[in-house]
Amino acid sequence: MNVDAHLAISALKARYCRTLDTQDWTGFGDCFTEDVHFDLSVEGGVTHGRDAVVALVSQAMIGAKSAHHVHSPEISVDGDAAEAIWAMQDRVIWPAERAKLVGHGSFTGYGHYREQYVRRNNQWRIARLVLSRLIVERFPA
Amino acid sequence: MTDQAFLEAYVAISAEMARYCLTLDSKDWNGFADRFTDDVDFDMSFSGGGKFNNRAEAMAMVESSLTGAITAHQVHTPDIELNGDAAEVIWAMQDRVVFAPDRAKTIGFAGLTGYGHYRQSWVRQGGRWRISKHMLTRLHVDMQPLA
Repeated sequence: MNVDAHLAISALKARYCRTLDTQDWTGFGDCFTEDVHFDLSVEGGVTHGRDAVVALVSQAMIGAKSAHHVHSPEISVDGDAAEAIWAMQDRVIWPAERAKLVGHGSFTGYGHYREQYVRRNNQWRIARLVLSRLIVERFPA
Repeated sequence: MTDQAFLEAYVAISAEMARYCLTLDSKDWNGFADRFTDDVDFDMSFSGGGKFNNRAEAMAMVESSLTGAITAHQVHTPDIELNGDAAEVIWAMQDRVVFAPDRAKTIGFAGLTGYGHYRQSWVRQGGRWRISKHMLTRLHVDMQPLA
């Protein structure tokens, strides 16, 4: 087991969740490679490139509150490349205008992040992220 | 290269935080208190609670506010920065609290599910890691209406 890479990738994913939920968009962008493949096709389509991802997510989260948690990663490392599957849970509360648009006030979701990482200049970043869902519970505003 | 000192601290602090959740949720108040230094800076002011500069007062507050309640605390994905016998740690956290019936009536809610971050300082004294600063910030709290 590659303990260094395991810990570094876990810290990267902790930072992904924290910067997303505290809306630190510079920090969030730094979690990804410039050419990241970001696939929320279950709910938001496929996006290519760090700038486009930050634009998409920061726009979607205006006025929203969120809490993303990730657990029990299955990580495999091959040199400067790695893959992981994370169990995830998220709670998202939409602002009033968006709640009207999407037809619910908030949701609690469960699923998996399937990710690939690359290490460049001793820094691991997410090169590919695919979200799949097990359950999404939607609640009225 | 991650050094051995970091790995040992990472595992030890993670185990201490597991005991934090276990002792808190099982109301083992002596065990819970033992997670903290005597002069812990215990700050729940960002999450609707008090701020204390010693362990005895902080523990009295926690114990009295959870009398008769059922709690389940989870912590995930620690971000740990180690500096010798000190460490700065941020945990993603989630808690579920079912209030005691009397308290639920007073507050007007049956319970809550909360999300946030524990922001902590740890110190190693006599080979044991303890929490010297403990702050909870909230992302969101879902209040559960009375049935």
